[in-house]
Amino acid sequence: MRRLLTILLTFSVISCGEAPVEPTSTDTVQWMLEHAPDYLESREFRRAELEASLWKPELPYARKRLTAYGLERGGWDLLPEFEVKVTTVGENPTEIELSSDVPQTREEWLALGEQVFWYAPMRRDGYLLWLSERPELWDELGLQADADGNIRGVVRYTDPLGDQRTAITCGACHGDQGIAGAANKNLDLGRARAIFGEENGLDNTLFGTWGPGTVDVTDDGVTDPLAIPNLWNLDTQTHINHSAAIKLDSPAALAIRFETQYIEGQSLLRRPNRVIPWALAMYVYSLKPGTRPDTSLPGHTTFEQKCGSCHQADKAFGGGLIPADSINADPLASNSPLRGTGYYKVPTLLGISNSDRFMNNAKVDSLEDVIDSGHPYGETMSENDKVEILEFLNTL
Amino acid sequence: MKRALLLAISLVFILAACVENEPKETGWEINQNNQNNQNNQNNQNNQNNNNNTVIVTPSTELDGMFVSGHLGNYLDCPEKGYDPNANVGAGSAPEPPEGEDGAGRLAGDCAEDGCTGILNCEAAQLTIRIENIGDIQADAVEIRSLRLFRFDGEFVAELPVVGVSNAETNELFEGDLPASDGLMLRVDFQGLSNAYELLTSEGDRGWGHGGVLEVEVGAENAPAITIESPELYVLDAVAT
Repeated sequence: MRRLLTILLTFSVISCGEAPVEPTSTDTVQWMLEHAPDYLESREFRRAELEASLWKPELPYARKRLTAYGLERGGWDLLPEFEVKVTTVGENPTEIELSSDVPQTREEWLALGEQVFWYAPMRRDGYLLWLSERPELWDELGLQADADGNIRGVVRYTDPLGDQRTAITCGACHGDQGIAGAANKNLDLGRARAIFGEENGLDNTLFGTWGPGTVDVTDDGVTDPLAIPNLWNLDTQTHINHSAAIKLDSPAALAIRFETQYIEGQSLLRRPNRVIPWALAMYVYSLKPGTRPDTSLPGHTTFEQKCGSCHQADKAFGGGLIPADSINADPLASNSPLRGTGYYKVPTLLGISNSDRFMNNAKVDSLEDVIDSGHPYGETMSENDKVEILEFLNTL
Repeated sequence: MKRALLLAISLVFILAACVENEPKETGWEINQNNQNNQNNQNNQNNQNNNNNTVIVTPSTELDGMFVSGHLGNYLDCPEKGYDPNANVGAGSAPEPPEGEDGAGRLAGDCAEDGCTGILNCEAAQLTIRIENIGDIQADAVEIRSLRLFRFDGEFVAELPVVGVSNAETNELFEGDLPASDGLMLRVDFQGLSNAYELLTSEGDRGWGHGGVLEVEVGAENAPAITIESPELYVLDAVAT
């Protein structure tokens, strides 16, 4: 009898799902492996995680999700699923179909996540078909061909209405040189839109002002492009998005972010099988940079003293939130009516040595310039401090 | 003794469960029998004097819920959108433009130009789930109106329905919904050509609001229902 009561109580606790489950394991991928059934099967779990991640529920970005996702009745959960069945674009088009079977092992989850990263259509746009048929523009616009001569991170697929679409995947923006997680700082989708406009009689000149390595991710009527970030060590991050609109209370928040991105990418007509975003989040959490900080350098100590209160070593040299008006960054995006929180997330500096565009809008061309004039605290440093810090930053 | 007591309690529970599962006569079944026995005398909805059972007329009733939707994006094709100021009718929405196929799809689905000439042009659509919770088939189920309101409740426009199809198969919806059945419907409609202008207010933070749709669903033989959407937005042109 006692055993029966225990089982009943356990079930009732699981089904309530009031509070988000805090990660207890330091291995995020392992945590996701253990909690996959919660995400895949429990609406209450997903709803609680959504609510915990949207710490500014009044923002339209949050409102849209809070009124549609994980509802007791109706909403996006009822949408039919779409199949991830795509064809790569370029010299050797290849058909790829991803399975929605639930992986059984860590390795299977990560392998599926990697496939999703490179091939699942995240956002389709009319101009991408035009662009995919003009290889003479690819290099200029930062599109890269893989070993098979296909554009990395661009796929074609048939949409739910039966029409052919061309879309970008995660890999287009975050897969520089085929390295998953590395921001493509040369990708210039704004200029692509501008050239497309020129050829089609549309005034797209504003898009042309975005600049390489940036994308405007807020449809708010203001041109406020932000640097494409590296996706390294997300398990050390407290928020995602430059304006920190999404709080990473648990890894499930990232999976929900991806799931709702795919739903919007499918024009709100379809949702992915939840295996897809969960595998993707697991894979993205596994991504680490190829570089390793050289803590033996004197610049490490100087960095800790001068920069460490914001760029914390245990947060991948990133940190929490900082009021946007307290730094030199353009505050436009932090005030976006759609996702603006008034803050910027202190970005991780991992991978900064491989970059040639810096700050939140990617408008500063060198680390020297960042320290000399781009960053508010650079002015307070001695020349020797700057030299040492630069040497250390170049190991990140 | 203890074991005997437990056995007795178990038996009581089992018997109770069995009684619960015995088939019951429903009002509909009684009504059918009654009709047969009395040669279809028109005594429906009256009390049966012999057994005091209420006779229920077979009926149909719709239930519905909102699933998803957006207001389209007509930035680069305003002529495809609906402008309430340019289409002032006698209280009703004008005829929608003809689509490429039976479902009435608009530009933005690449049917016309293969997506080579338009950047931001997506037709508005919504998905709802309709269920027939009545006893008989609902006939000629249809979307009677789509009324758009601003977030603060002010009426903006009645938007033209372009086509209704099964959201899972894309087949045209013919209008029949059998009893105890349900399906997902995709409703293509003409969104506002100037949504940003009409849905935001002075002092509103730019693009911070969408609009709320009231979807009236009716049937030939069922009372109409109204499904209210949450705030819907223009389909993003740049966001991820």
